[in-house]
Amino acid sequence: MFFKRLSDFSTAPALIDDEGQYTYAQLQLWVEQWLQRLGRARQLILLQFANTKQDVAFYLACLQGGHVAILAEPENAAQISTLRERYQPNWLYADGQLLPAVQQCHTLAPSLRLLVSTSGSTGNAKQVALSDANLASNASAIAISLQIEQADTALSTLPFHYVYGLSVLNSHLHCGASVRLFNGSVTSADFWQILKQQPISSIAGVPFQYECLHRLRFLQRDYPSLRYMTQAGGKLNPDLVCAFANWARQHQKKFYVMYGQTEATARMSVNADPLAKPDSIGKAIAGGFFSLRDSEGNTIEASDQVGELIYEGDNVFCGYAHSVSELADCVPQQTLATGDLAKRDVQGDFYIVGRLSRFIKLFGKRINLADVESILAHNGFKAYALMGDDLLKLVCVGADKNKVTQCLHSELNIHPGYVKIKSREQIPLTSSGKPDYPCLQDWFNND
Amino acid sequence: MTNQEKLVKAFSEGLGIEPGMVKDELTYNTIPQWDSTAHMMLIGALEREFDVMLDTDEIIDMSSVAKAKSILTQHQISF
Repeated sequence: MFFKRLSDFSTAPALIDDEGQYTYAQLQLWVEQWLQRLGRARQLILLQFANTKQDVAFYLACLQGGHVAILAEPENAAQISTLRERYQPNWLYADGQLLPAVQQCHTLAPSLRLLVSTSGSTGNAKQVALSDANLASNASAIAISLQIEQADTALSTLPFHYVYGLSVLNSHLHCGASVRLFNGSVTSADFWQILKQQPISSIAGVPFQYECLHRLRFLQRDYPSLRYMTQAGGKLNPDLVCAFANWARQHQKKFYVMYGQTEATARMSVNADPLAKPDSIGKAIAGGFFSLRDSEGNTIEASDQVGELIYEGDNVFCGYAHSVSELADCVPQQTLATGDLAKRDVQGDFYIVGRLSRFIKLFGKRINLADVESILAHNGFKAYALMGDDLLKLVCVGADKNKVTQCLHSELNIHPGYVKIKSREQIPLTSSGKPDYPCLQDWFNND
Repeated sequence: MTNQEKLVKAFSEGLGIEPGMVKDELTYNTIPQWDSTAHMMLIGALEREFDVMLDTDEIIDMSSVAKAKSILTQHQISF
């Protein structure tokens, strides 16, 4: 497992930041200092994980020591207080400081290592339980699928408390490669300076970051050391997929379109030739397997038929942990029903065509449409949220569109430019009296 | 519409704020609405209103309303 083998790469640089670079041996020394602090008994630790060397060292100490870390976004007070209340962690870690909290010993399942939040922004994010084997398997599968080399340096454009960002870190540590630590946004001057001045081999991003890079004229330049870019965390507009894939081809680089979920320790598939199939999520990563299931639960063998996408692999999580008592029994699950509707072409490449569960992804964050509706209802607006690729689509009944937009902006930080609202006087109902969403969706798209 | 009016419209739409909030002193990251997401929407709105193409450095440097004016001035737009 990658986190136990840091010393194997002794003098190779593991982490690079504004001040300098730090070898794997140095990293292991920091890890051992934390291991002494934490002691032998397994601890439950709330870890505010920023993209810094000390936080990476602490994270690796949690893994090496067999402790369980609950990953949190630094300074996200609402998330931190919810997690503290729900899981009663023994320790609180933030920014190099470790503070004792609850003394009581918790029963922790033997293989449990991390709790990671489904990247939800509507307040009821679930916590995904990941084992040591989940992390190790995904790190090695990604390293194989993207052909990561020891000489590579990834720029950490995604936060490590977000599972896709964590997967970039883990897969590079697995190969003895380096990670250039960076906490900012791709719209910051620092990002462009690092890209121009330092030998960065790869960048990972969610659709919003690629939209920013495109707008910032990323494609008008070459970056000689850049070898490849990965995109996951939601569907990127196919025009932009082609723009980046074309640019990559012209400059002898690779652009990978990937698909993932927190429940699969991040990424599950890779499309290595998006120019040929810009809409496809490609094939399962090394060691993983996709299948499709119809509504009766039968496996679909034929091509071009839509069914629920099912994933099998060692990176499939150990279930959700809703409370501290559920940390006692985390059972590895081999199969993940993704909730996404997909089809397969004759070459075996997969395409996401819709979702069973009602959520959308904006800026790489999962937005539960039922939550959007209830938050709006709580603020006095009657609205129905519909599925969309890169927009939140709403049908409002007798509400002021501007006020609804303002409410979404202030309550959920959804920018008005990503909201499209249409008004109706009445909502069509199904025979059971529920809102007829397919009917509303058709009306919305064709009105 | 005057250039000043176009500027106020672009900021108000781009950041999702009231036109009255658009003052020269308004600066990136000092109000919750002006974050990196909104910054990109703002750039799109400015490019549409003034029919210009901003380059990477200009987009990154556009950290206040006053700065936006000075950058747009370099594109032969006067205020």
